[in-house]
Amino acid sequence: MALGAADAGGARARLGRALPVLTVLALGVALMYPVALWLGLPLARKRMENLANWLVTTTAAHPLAAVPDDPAAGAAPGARLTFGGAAELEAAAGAPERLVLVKDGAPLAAPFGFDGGELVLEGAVAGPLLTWGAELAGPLDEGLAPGAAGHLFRFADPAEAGRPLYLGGRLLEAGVVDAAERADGVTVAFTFPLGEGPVLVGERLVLEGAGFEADGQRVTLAAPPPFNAPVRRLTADYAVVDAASGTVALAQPSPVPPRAASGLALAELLVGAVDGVNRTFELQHVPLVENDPARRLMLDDRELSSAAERPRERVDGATRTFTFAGARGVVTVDGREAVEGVDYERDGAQVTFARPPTRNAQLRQYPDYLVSDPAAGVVTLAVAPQPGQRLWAASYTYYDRPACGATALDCFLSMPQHPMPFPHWIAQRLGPFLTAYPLADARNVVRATLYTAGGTLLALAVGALLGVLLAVVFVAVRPAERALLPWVIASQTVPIIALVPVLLLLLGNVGVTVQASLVPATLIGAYIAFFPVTVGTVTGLRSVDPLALDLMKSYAASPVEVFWKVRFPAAVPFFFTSLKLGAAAALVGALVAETESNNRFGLGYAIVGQVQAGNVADVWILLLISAALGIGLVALVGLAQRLIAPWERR
Amino acid sequence: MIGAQERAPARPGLLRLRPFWPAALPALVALAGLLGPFGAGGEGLTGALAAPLAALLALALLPALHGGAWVVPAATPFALAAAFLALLAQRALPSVAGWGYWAVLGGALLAAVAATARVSVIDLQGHDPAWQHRLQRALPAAAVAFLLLLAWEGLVVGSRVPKGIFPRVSDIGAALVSSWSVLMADAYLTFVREVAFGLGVGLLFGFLVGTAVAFTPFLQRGFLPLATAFGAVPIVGLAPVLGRALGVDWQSKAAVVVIVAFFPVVLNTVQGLTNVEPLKLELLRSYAASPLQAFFRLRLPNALPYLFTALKVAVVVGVVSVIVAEFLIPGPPNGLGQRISLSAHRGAFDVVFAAILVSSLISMGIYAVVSLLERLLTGWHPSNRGS
Repeated sequence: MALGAADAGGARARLGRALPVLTVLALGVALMYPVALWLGLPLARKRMENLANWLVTTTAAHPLAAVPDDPAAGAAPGARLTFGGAAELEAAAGAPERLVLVKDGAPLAAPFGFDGGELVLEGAVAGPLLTWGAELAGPLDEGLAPGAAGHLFRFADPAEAGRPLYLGGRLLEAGVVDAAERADGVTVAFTFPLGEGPVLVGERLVLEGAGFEADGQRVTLAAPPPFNAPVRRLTADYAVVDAASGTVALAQPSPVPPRAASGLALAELLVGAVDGVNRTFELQHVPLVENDPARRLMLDDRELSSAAERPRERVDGATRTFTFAGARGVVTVDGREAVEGVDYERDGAQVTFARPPTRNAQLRQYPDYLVSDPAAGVVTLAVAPQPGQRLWAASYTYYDRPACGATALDCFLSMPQHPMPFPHWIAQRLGPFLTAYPLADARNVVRATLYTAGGTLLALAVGALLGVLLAVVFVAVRPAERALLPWVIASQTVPIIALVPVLLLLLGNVGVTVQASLVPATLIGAYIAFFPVTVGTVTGLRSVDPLALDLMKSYAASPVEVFWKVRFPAAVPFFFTSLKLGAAAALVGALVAETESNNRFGLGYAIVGQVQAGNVADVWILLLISAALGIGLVALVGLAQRLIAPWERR
Repeated sequence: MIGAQERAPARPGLLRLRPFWPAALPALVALAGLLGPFGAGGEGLTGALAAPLAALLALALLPALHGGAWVVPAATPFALAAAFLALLAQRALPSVAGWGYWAVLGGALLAAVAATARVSVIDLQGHDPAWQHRLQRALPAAAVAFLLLLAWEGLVVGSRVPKGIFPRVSDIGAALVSSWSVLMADAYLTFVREVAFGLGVGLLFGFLVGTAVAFTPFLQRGFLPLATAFGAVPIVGLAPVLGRALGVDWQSKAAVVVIVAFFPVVLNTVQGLTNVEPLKLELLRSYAASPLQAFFRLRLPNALPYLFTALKVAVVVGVVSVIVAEFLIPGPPNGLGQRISLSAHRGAFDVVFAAILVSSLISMGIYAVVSLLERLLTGWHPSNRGS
């Protein structure tokens, strides 16, 4: 390459040579960022759109957040009340007509407005605003000294476990999330989409510092949880540990047990016209979780049933009349609503279709309501509510937001396995990865690199020796060349590497333990390196100046003398050039041999292992190492060339 | 050494015998082997096969005994045919071969080798007939092909190696026929979807980048050393990474080919575009040719032979890389590499070799097509004018 700075001193010349290379290298590294995003963002977006990866939230009628001064006395117009779930209320604050005050499972008629997050009553509320339940038993986990702080408490009556809890006049908020990983009996590291409280393993509470170490959202437990045990983390004040026994766990230890209470709450009205005709209503938080056991929709003080009835008759494609348990309800065929008067006629519990439903169609009757579109939160009622009736949601579960983050970029960053890592992640992993195991361990990367390098060098030595021998034979014995050289050249297009599995099995049959031996790598690498060396050396031995040969003849030199004095020196540069080609090829051969033979000492096995483990940054590190190894091997051949044939300088 | 260089005698009498012993002796051994047992249990030859076998061996022996330089090679086809017949005879027997079989097979094959070697040591001059030149070039290579196949089949049949350890040539042929449609579907995926697509994209990208590099001195200094160093990088190691990034289907394997093809194409494009005779450039300048004209009239044609060299390298390396990539990215079980890997793991070596055969033949075919294109498109170039 022409070099402008050649005359300007050694250091500057070296800088002038290195600078463009470094610049291009930096550009290449920088290019990895957009490429990583280009490959990763679609996956992240797909991950984000999958509802299975969303956080689910159960919303219930919001109880009073703070205990009023005199809860037994009721409230007069103009009283200001605060309710829990402030954020949700804030969102609904602009539309007070979408909310309703309920008490003891029935809506109140009292009108109200909002003022700065507080509810202002416009009518009076009679009766007690709050009725205290029994105090919870506990703390259960610190029973040594009376009055000591603890986390676990238990309802006297487990049926009350869903009631709001107050501690010192303050409403406690429930919240818990599942770990992203499943407990397999071995794993100790778990990630949670959010939360910073204690961890629940099954029904056991584990505290930070004592039972686990937390690094942001990643938690490392001291002991692996048993197989399939639910691993959860508290995100708010408390969580129900075991609904059957009514046990709850507080995030912060408390010497005093919390207290359950029931009373005034603020609930969500379903959106839709209440005119005696309209039967479709919308819930305000969407999308809905289907088959939600927590969903409780109320029409005034009556709870609507979400159950479905099956017909008594089989749907055989010919029957038109079916009998259900109840005399009213929404009838669906394969999930689609059938219209009364058009699709079917009803006679009490008997339904007669105009055309028989197709064989094995799913025929259902929903006596109260049906979730007709979970994504939009639409429910269809069997009977249209009359004016004055109020349809409200006591509780239901919906998909709140993607667990991985609000944007595709957040989701990309939190992906457990990236298609391609950012370069700085690779740099960060470099140190820990290289020093993960001591040098004596077979899993040490430096050791594996040396192992593979050794195998490749052996392969190269054997391949070079064979190649040169064959080349000398070809040049010395013309019949051999005439017969074999065309095939040697043609075989360069044969994917020799395809023979690796065959060769490994043959070696196994011969008695070589291919899983822990350098033989496969050496043999296959040599096999691959030997072709270019043969062809290159033959060309080199042939590239002799005819004049030089004539001169030797005129000196009456013997064939051996001709070989050493003329042919050999001419062949050296060709030999080394082909050996450099062979070095790169032999490395590929050695890597493939190690991979296919499951040789756990080598670099090839490490690459495949990290690929299977999904540690993309580690795969890239191994890749860079093998690239450096390839470049190093070629440089080594170049060095050998300079040592062995110093006269050959270009 | 088989023979010193010598001229064929002007016209030896047809009956004057100068036996060529390197061929005649093995033939005699083979004839003697007819008397020995063909099976380990001492089974001899049946008369129906013994007679033609003896006749073939005699036909192979006669030219060797005659010893004329252009007569001896006539022994080759007969010796090969005799070896083939012996092999058929042994195959029909129930057991491992006896010494008679080994003598016939070894003798016949050695005789064929020697007879073929005889023709290739004749020192031909320019005025000798063209058929002699052609025969001298073609016979040894062709004979070796048959010889290797017969030796392989003969050894495996004679020692009754189980099919699961090493397949016979005939097994491979049978596998080729029986799984032809599967292999063709695999070959379509591997070569059309992966290799051809990858080569096309790699060629295009490589040429564009190479052109950019050739006209940017900064990139020449910065990019070329890196591209050269990349020649030593085992790029197929990228396969698992690409598999993760692009999915385990054909796209990731095609991407391997793209990268493998990219670097030689860039290097050769730069060389071809810049290694232009300065005199020609000056001539164009004196005609006031625009840089664009200089590019299309001089630089691009000059780069064509370089591009073809790069393409030939890329074809060879690309096929190997695609097969390794199929090893390393366990995706859907089609593609020749997957076929080879899966068949090897269940011990179906006949299918393995059949798949290797198919892939070699196709890659040789691609190579031949590229060479033909090269000759058609760059026939004017000095490097091709001579041959």
